[in-house]
Amino acid sequence: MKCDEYRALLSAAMDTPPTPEEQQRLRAHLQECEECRAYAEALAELREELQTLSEPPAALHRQVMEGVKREAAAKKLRRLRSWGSLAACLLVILGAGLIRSQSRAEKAAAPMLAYSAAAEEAHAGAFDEAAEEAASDSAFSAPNGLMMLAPAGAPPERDAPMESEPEAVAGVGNSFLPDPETAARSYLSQLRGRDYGDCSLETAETPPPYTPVAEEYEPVGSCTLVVFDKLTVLVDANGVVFGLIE
Amino acid sequence: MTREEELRLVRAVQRGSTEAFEQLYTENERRVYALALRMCGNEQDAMDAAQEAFLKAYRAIGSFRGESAFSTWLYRLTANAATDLLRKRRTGRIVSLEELQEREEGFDPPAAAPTPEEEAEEQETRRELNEALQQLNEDSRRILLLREIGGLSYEELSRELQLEVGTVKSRLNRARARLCTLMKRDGNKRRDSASKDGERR
Repeated sequence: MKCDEYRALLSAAMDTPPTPEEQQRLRAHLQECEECRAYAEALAELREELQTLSEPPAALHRQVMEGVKREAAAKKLRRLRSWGSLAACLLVILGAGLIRSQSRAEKAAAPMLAYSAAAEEAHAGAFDEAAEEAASDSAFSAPNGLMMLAPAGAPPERDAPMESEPEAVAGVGNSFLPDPETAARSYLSQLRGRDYGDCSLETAETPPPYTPVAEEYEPVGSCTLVVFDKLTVLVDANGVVFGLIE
Repeated sequence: MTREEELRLVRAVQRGSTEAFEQLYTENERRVYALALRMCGNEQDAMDAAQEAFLKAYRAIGSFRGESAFSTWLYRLTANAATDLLRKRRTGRIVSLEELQEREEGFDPPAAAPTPEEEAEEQETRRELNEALQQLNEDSRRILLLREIGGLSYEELSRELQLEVGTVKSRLNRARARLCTLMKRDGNKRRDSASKDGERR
C-alpha cells in the first residue's frame, strides 16, 4: 500500500471505526512513516479546529424569532383569509339560490347585486387585508363557475334591502349592475386569461342554444349576447355570465 | 436531544407553536452558526445565512416528514443558504447603505477570549482555517463541513447530497487532504502562521 492509500484509510477511520485489521495496518505504517504520522496529527487537529464552535451573536436569536413570529402571524392571516373567501363564496351561492327561487316566484329580475355587495362587505369588514384584494377587483368567482360582478366604482348600497324596487334594478342601464360587455370581458379575462378583441351587443328575449357555464343557474330576465369574433358570451339581466356559444 | 424529542417539537411547531421552534433554535443555533461561518468565511454573511436557514426551516416545516433528523435537514438548509449567499456575492450584488448599517447594528461582537495572547492566537488559527476553507471548492467545503460540524454520517451525506457512499468517502478524503495542503500541514512540519496579507480571496 502506498502512503496515499493509508491516508485515505486515515480519513475513513475518522468517520467510521476501522476494522481491527485496518487498524493494525495503519498502526504499523504510522510507526515507520513520519509524514503520514504528521498527516494523522494534522487531521485530528483540523477536526478539533473545525469543531470548535464560536458562540453565535445574540442578535441572531432575536432576529430569527422576530422573523418566525412575523411568519406565524402571516400564516394565521392566510388561514383567516381562506375562511373569509369561503364565507364570501357561500354568501354568493346562497344569494344565487335565493334569487333563483325569487325569480321563479316573481318571473322578474332580482337584484343579485345586493348579495354580492353584501358578500363583499362581509368579506371586507371581517378581514382588513383580504379586503384590499377583494376590493381591487370587485368580481367574485363562485366555485360552480358563475361570475358575479359588483359595480366597479359604485359604493355598495349598504342599507338598501334587496326587496326594494325589484323592477328598478332589472334594467341593464342601472348603475349598480355591470353592463353586459364589462361582465363578459371580466369573465373572459379571469377564466380564460385573454382579451377577445372587439365585440357587438344583441338583446334576445330567449337565448339561442348555448353551453351553460354553470349547472343549476337559470338566467334572469332578457339576455344580452356579447358577440366577439371567436365566441359569444351570454349575459342575463343581472349581469351574470350564464352561457357561451363557441 | 433525542430524535423523539426533536420530532415532538417539530410536531408542536407544525401545530403552530413558536415556543417549540425556539427550543429547536436553541438546540441547533451553535452548529448552524458555525456551519454558516465556516461556509461563508465571515460573520456578517454567516448571520444572514443562518437566519435564512432557520426561517426557511420554519416556513417549510409543514412538509418535514421526519425521514431524516430535523438537525440534518436544517444543516442542509444552512449549507444551501450559505451557497446562495456566496453566489450572490460573486455576481456582485450591490449592498445598500441601509443594509450595511442594519447589519452593523444587529451584530454583537463575539465573546472575548481569556487573555489577549490566547485570543490573538485563536483568531489567527480561525483566520487561517477560514481562508483555507474558502479556497476549497464548494462541493468539498460543503461535504467536509456537513460531516465535521453537522456530524452527518456517510449514509446521511449520501442521501442529502445524492451521492454514492463510496463517493462520499473519497470526496471527504480529498477535501481533508486539500485542506491540510492549504494549511501547509500536509505531513510537513507546520510552518509559522501564514502570511498576513490576502485577508480574503
